[in-house]
Amino acid sequence: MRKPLIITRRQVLERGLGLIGVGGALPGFLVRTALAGAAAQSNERIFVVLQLEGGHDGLSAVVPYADDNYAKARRTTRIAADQVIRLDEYLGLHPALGGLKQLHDQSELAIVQGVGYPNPNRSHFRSMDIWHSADNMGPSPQHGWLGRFADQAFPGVSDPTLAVMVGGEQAPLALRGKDHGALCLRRPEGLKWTRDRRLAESYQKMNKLADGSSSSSLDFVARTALDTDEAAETVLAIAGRSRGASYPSTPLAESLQMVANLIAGGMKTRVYYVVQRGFDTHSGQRQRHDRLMSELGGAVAAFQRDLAQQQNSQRVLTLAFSEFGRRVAENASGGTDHGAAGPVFLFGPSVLPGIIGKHPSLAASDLDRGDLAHAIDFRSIYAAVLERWLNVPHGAVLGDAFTPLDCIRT
Amino acid sequence: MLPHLRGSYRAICLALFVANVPLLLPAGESGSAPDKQCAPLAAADWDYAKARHLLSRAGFGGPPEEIERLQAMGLEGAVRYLVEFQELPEVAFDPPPEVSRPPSPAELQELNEEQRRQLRRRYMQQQRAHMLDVRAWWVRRMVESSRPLEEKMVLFWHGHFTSGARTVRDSQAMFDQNQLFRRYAAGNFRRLLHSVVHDPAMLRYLDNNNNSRQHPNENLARELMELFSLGEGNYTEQDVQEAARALTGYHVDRMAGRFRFASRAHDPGDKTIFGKTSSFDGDQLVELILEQPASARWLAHKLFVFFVHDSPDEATIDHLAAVLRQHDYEIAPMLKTMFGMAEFYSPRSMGQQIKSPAQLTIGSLRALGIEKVDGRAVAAAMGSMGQELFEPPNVKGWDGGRAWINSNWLVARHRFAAGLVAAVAEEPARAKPRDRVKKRDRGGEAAGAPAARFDAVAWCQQHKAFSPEAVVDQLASALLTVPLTSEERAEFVKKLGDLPPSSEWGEANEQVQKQVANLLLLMMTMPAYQLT
Repeated sequence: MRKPLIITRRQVLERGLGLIGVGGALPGFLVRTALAGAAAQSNERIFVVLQLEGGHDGLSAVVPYADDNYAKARRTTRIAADQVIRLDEYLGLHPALGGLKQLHDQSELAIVQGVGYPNPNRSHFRSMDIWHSADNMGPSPQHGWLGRFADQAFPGVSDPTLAVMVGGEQAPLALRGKDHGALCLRRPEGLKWTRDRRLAESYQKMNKLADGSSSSSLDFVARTALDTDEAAETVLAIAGRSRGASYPSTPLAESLQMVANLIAGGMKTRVYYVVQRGFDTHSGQRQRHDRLMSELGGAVAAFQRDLAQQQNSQRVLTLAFSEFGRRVAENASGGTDHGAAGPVFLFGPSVLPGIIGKHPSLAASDLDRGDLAHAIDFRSIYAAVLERWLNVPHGAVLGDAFTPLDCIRT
Repeated sequence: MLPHLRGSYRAICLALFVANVPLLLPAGESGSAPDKQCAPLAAADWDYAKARHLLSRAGFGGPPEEIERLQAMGLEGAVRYLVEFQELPEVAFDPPPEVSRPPSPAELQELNEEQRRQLRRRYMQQQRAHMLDVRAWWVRRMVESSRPLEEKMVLFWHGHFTSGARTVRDSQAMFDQNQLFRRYAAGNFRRLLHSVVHDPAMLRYLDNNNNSRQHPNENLARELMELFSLGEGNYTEQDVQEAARALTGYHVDRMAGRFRFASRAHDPGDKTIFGKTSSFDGDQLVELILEQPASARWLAHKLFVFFVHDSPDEATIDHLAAVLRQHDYEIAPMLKTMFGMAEFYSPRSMGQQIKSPAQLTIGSLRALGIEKVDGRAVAAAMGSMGQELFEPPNVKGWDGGRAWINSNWLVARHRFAAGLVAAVAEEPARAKPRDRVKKRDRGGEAAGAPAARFDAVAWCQQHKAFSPEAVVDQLASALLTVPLTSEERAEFVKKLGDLPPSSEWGEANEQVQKQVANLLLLMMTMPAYQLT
């Protein structure tokens, strides 16, 4: 296997110096420009992560409507057999997921059932860390699997737009690598603090004076400032163009529309990250979950339609996951508590379409402390994404060897 | 030379040679290491820059006059002045009015479903408004207090013993917890730790209300050891489970908002914790924890990282932990040692810390001498930079350091500076603080400026800065810990441009205000301004 080629920024600096042949302190931004050719191209494959935050009740999305144990366990949150959108004699989609049914019919949807990991952790915080870091099951992981992918695939490239989080303030752990971070976008205008051009120029000059200095914290702040400026130019230019695609007016649809706009605009971004919140349905689940499903179905369908129209769908793959599923039995508040395994969705023309894996058994004797047991380790899906979509060996990124799951067309 | 500090230093060194040494230092390590590591700063090295550093770290900084006053006290005097803040008069701050307690079950029973929902909604609205008031109240304290270290320590404890308002859902409990941190700000950690396991906000935040002998909940027990007092690796899983049993029945009376010992929920049986077996309760658990050698080191380490820098050596932590033990967990003597150490003033420390949003906002206001602020606006600005008071991101508190700097939060920092400078540039006649406050209350820009107007011309006159060079130098000295490079200085002088002769500043007031305000903004957005 190829040894991971990780070059520190310091090494880049030194290499840059050798390359250009100047002594002394060469500011970081010059090096960045000098090496820009090695960066991502704007026609490469794109991976989108959709995080269903709070612990998604998979049983209410991909419903085992024909299972007696389901009917027994779920009294108030049950979706009746005559309401589901039938996929087969056992499974059906939530009635508000018509958008996903459409993708299913177009062979652009894969549902991986019973996904989880050994010794499931039922804390949002810890379980999210486990999904994000993937290799590091110890406490307080520092890097995420997609950050490590960037370290691996783009050594020495400092492009702040390689990974972009849309709709959030802070880069998720998944995108944090040793040498790579992510740009966070709420509104593109949020990347600028002044409209005064002369002020902005002086500001940039002060940052360039500080970048590459001996004080590492100072260097870090200056670099972040310069990266932000650089990204703001690109993003604002693209966001300014109006496009005709129609989306529902929900937060998730807005995020996905921004992703589609950035793709259409020719950003070199390889990984996008969006979040849909509100899945922690401890009470009054039916109503809240119905709304979430309709937001999800509508947004994803509009996104895929938009990508097809701009003829980019072939190079975009989307994965939707949640940190855990929910308990099979309901609680006393018409909701469900934290559980374990759940489904993972993959969208796009490049998926191996259909239902992958067996639905976990709901029989009491098969449950893990009242929760669905996993049959597929999420890291085998990550391995497939890395090997078959992003074209990097998965071992160095995941830290361990997994058999890539057959879920992407080769 | 420094009788006070030398005295206590000698006492500490003596203590190291008595019974505690084998406990605190790993075998084979020489006892002389702490002498070197923890040597106090030589009196001759005390200067303006070090006084500014001390005020910035042990407080939130201040205007040049305050730094000069501190400098004149000498190192020992300055440290004592800041740490022994109990002797300073307290500025009077009226706490925000209390809100009503939640509706009682009896009350709710008489209502129909719709009325209940309305009552609950009204209660939640009150809670949110009260939380905004409490936040603003604390911000004003940080800006105006004559005891800066007291508020800095409250901020430290808030990040150490975390509780979040959205989880606690009781704004009064959040306020009470803040007052608890103030009561023991630099006081006794033993008493503080006892109070924390009785604190309603903490008990709610970490689910101890559900911790009963029938259904033990380990949340509080685990965080108590992992984050609050010992650190990972200094206890076993069994210790956590047994400690959880000791804490059963430490509940909150929701109606009264007070601690309640629910004896029927308490497990009176024997527990084995750290190898000792007895029918321990929560308070005995606290004593057991404080007997562990790891506890003083854990606290010393956290305080050092918060106040000095993030890579202390073992010997320094051992030494500071010994001071804590020597004084039975009184915090003040240890702080005095730490603020007197040469290491505190070393190049590893000075100008190397990335400012927290609290440090940035409060520090800017204090450095410019702006006292009357709109607390809500400043708190909102902090929130936009990633530090929403009373809402730490999780039980570990704020990560700090480089985690404070990302694209969004950096831009939010600059917007705060721009807002502050807009208030500077505003014409005196049109500066009506009240209007600005109202506008923001109606939901204006979150990262707004404080209401008060800063008079740049008066500031320059007061600091006798009349030439462009003098204005740049004076402002840099007031605002920056990291000195300007000659290139930066030249750029600033060029940007400021020519100033009219000082005799004409009266007529040219508006123009000079604008020129200086622009310079101020450039200085407050430069990378060095993010460090202290």
